[in-house]
Amino acid sequence: MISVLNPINSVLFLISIFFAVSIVFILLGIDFFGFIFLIIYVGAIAVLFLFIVMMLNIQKIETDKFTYLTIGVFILIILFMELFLSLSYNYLLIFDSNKVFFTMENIRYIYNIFVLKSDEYYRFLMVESLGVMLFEYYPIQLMLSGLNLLVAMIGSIFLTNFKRGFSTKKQYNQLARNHYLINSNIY
Amino acid sequence: MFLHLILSLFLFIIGIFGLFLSRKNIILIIMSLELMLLSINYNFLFLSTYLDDLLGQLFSLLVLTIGACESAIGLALLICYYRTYKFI
Repeated sequence: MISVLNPINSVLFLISIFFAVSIVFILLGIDFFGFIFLIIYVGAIAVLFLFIVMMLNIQKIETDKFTYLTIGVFILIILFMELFLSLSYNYLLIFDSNKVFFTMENIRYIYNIFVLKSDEYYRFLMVESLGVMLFEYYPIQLMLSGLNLLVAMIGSIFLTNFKRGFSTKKQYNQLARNHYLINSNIY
Repeated sequence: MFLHLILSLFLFIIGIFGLFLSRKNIILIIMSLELMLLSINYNFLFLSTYLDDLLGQLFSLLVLTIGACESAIGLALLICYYRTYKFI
């Protein structure tokens, strides 16, 4: 994805990565999040990227790659050391399952759902318990994410509105007599 | 089991390489940020199914909304940049 010269090919590789990861989620047994990722990432965000790449004529990526390679390799070495140190302790094998509160059995016990009918019903129960957990135990986080979406929507509308929104037009530069000299730092 | 963790680690490394190697192009930086958020979500969802804890899926849902907001704001800023400087 990052070594391709044309940005359209890069966006298409990004779409293929999202598709493959959502298929892995479906195979892991989390159907809900697989389809959510397929809808949101491939349907909204990747198409937004494709639209931006097609609308603005972006030049091809310059292959000037060896200037920042040293910083990247240094930070990657630090990250590798951190990850292997944390994986070598093997926290997952000594994990105590009694301390987890939001297991499926606990939620089923809380809401008096004892009957487990079939596999499809179990999957639906997972989505239902996720919604119960989101609305009962973490309402503040739900409201904050909604507020974040609202701020993003208003901000993007304000930034891209041409007439009444944020404009980068400078009135003084248009009224000045020698505006080529003033604008010479821009062009 | 650790194969999934290694796959998400490789996705994260590809995102970091995209951040550090493509300083010239801003749209590739936003795309590699999306890729890093995807790898984080992969980690959360896999560990939530492995440990039978539902908290990871909720956190993945919140991270997903943050990623959508970030990409929308970044692309709006990109359009503003294009309008003033006429090139990217």
